[in-house]
Amino acid sequence: MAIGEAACVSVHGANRLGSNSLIDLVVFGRAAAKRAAELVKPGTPHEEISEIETQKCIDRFDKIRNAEGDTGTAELRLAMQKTMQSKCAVFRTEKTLKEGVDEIRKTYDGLNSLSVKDKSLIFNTDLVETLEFDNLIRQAVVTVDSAYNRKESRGAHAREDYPKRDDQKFMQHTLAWCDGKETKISYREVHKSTLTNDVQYFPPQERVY
Amino acid sequence: MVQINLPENSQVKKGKYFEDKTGSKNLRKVNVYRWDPSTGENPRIDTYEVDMDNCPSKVLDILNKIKNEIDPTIAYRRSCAHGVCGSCAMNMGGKNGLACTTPHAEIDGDIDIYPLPHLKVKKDLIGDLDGLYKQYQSIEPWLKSKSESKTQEIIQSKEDRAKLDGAYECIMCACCSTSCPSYWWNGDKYLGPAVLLQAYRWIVDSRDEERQARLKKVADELKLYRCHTILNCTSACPKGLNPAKAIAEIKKMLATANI
Ligand code: SF4
Ligand code: SF4
Ligand code: FES
Repeated sequence: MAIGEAACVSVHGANRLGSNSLIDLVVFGRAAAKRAAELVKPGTPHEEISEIETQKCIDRFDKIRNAEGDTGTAELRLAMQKTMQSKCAVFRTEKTLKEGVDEIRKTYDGLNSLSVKDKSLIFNTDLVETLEFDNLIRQAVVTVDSAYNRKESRGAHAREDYPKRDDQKFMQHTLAWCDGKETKISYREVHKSTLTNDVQYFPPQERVY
Repeated sequence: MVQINLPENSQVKKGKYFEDKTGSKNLRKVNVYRWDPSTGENPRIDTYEVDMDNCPSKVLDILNKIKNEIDPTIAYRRSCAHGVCGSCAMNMGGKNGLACTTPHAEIDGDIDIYPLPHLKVKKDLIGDLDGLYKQYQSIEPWLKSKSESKTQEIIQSKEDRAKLDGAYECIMCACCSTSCPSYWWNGDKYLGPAVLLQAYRWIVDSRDEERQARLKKVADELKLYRCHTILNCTSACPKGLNPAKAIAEIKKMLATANI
């Protein structure tokens, strides 16, 4: 069962800023909780997780904890923040995004020279921040690549070189696969019908101010 | 005279000295309490020379600068950086406060940064708040109402709502409780100002139906009456609240109520 952003229920057909998370919380959070209460008996232990999976987590943890490179996490994080802010902000163009696509990969390569100075296992915030960076940099790569490939404007993705929304090509979810700094971008149809006859389908309209 | 010695491993030693590498002319010395339980070593005070020309105005900015640019091993809690989450509470220049709202310009001379006083330390500037959270849990900080109606709102008048002002703003940072001498001595039994302020917040909530039971619960020699109106709590509160007054109100309610 997945809830919240991970569920990607696509209430509005696309992820609409502001109201998506609230609906996720109030409607789907409640529905998921009720369903979970039906399905799960209190006190049931979690099913056994295969050792291959747990080993993957431990390997990642150990690799990062024992990182002995020469670049601190804070330095890489700042580089990532700067790239995302200047090349992948709300208003973007082909040029900035292309630069971002290249630049963020340089920061990604920094993963090879990471340094974690605190090796302890109690409240190790150096380690936590590095694990966070490891998550974020992958997220950043996927974000710039997705934005670069979406040649239209929609919601908070404002392409100055493609100011109009293009429903023909892009009324679709972006699907992204991330394998290191290699990504594969694909698309999935949005739902264009309701699940009951109580309400009709609302066709999307341009957002004007 | 009785001589009391501290146990050997509790003595705070002089630690490392981190000299400035930026060549800045505007330096301040920052002394930070460090302790890593996994090393078996004594706590120590590390000193950092910090370039103040490139440092924003709050004590938290100094710590971030140290962590990001000088020594990533230093551990402290922080989250919102806007004085609303309560996680960066610590002792700076001898005073409890939130690192993210305390301007370093207000501290004269070298800047001493310690964990909140009289808590067990988990690591560096991180105090152990488990005891405080258990006490918080013990006052059952949620609305208790027998009304079965699940579809109707419980209405509250503006006057009744106003009674919560000065109590609901508490962010449970523990600056008050850890500045209270009574809490230092009897922290295992005395609830302390932070938790008593929260107890008060539910006692005066017009929608709550367990007022009597709540009062009875805190009416205990040690839970409540260890407060001797020293008022350290009120001067420590970074949100400008007055827990001492709330405690006095509870005492007053108990003195006049028939419990
Ligand atoms: S007024 Fe009471 S709670 Fe506040 S510091 Fe003094 S003894 Fe502690
Ligand atoms: S009363 Fe003030 S000092 Fe005490 S926990 Fe609440 S916000 Fe912090
Ligand atoms: S970081 Fe949230 S109160 Fe200081």
